[in-house]
Amino acid sequence: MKKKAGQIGAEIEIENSTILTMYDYAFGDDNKPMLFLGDFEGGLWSFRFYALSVSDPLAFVVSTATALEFNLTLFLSILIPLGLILLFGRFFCSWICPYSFFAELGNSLRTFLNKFGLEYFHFDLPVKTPLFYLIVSLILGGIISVPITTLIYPPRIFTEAIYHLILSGVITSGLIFIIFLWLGEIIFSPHLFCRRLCPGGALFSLLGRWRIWRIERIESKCDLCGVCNPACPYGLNPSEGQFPPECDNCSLCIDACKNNNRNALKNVIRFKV
Amino acid sequence: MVKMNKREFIKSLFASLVPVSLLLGGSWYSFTKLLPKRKTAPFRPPGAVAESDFLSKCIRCRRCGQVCPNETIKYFDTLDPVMSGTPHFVPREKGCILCMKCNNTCPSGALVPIADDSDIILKEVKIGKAVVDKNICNSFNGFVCGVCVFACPYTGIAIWGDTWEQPVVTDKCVGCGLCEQSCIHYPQAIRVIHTEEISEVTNEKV
Repeated sequence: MKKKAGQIGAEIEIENSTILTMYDYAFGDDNKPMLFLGDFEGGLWSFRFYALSVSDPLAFVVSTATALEFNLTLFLSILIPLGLILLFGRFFCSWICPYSFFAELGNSLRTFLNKFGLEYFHFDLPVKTPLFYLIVSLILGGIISVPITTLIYPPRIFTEAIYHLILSGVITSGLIFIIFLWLGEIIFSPHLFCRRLCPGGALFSLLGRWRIWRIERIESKCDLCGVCNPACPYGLNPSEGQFPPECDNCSLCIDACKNNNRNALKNVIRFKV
Repeated sequence: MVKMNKREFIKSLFASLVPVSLLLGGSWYSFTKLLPKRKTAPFRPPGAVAESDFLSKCIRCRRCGQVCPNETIKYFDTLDPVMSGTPHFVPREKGCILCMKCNNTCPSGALVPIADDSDIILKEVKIGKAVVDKNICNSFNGFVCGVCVFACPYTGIAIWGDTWEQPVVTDKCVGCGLCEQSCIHYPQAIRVIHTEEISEVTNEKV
């Protein structure tokens, strides 16, 4: 609303335009920057879309264990992801988790640099470390009644990092932790955090043990060429028919098998359902 | 499933204890060094449960700050593992307009939902209570002011202006902090304090 030159006190009426309103929401000083998201609020950790409220199952587990109190609202909000995890297992890690993208990027960077003869360390931890981390941090966090488990959980860190980057332009300490973790993974061990520390992954592995949608290997057709083994980011052995709860249905082994197989239609490794 | 032997059990236990002890150390540092530095406990959004319950129940999802239309709700520094990501507000910077959006969106039960009705808000919300410092308040020192009286959403119920607009805060004050935000005196002559601290402060100042 600007005053026209020569007209004292007269105001020009700007027509109500959708684009202008959206621009105002996004870049205007008077409005909250987050408003352009409309009816979506929250992030990956917990969000609301119209009446649908969805939270991470880990949020419910950690909140219930530290507060020692059952909260119905929080339980109702985890039902959808819980059902999906019971059906599809640990699909969240490979298909939704934002850190997974960076970990895979780091992994390909690592293999790319390996071609130039750069040798890296290979650091590894026991398979059950995430489960131990989940249990130990829940108990000790419950004693001091602070949910310390989720302080290193990437979806939560990304949610808060995006919130603070948009609203106040601040880089959070969690984001710095993620950057150092990513660099460390490139140098020391690919996917180390997802495989060996992530509390969410541990919980989803536990819940998804009896998942319906899983990868299987047809034993009679497999000629044990072993191209699928290095393709697995979690270090499992698909060629031996091992798909333990840690498998997150990322289907990289299927791709590797397809590429090696002369007849792509006869996949030896495939989805069961 | 991989079967575990004793050796692997101890190995994974120690491997998981490394990050846990780092986080516990951070929490210990926060409990002993960072928290005592704060002069008062933080003011949580309306409908918040008791402070120790709040820390364990809140899942740090930042949805309350996102729905807050007044940008009242702020979040603690992420370097502090105990307080990080929990909502609070500073009454002097921005008071709560009592829209009850934050506690109706909270998924975790850290903020108990309260209906957006002025009578119910007056009953249920108790963030703190405003206390007037008569030594510096303009109305008590020869200048008729009364800004806090008119800034209050419950003028006449929670606060009312006496002769020369001298503010009188009643027990019905919910502690939204709009009076403290609007106070024209620097430093603020009216201030929201927690209900537990009222006896200490009133003995000293008023």
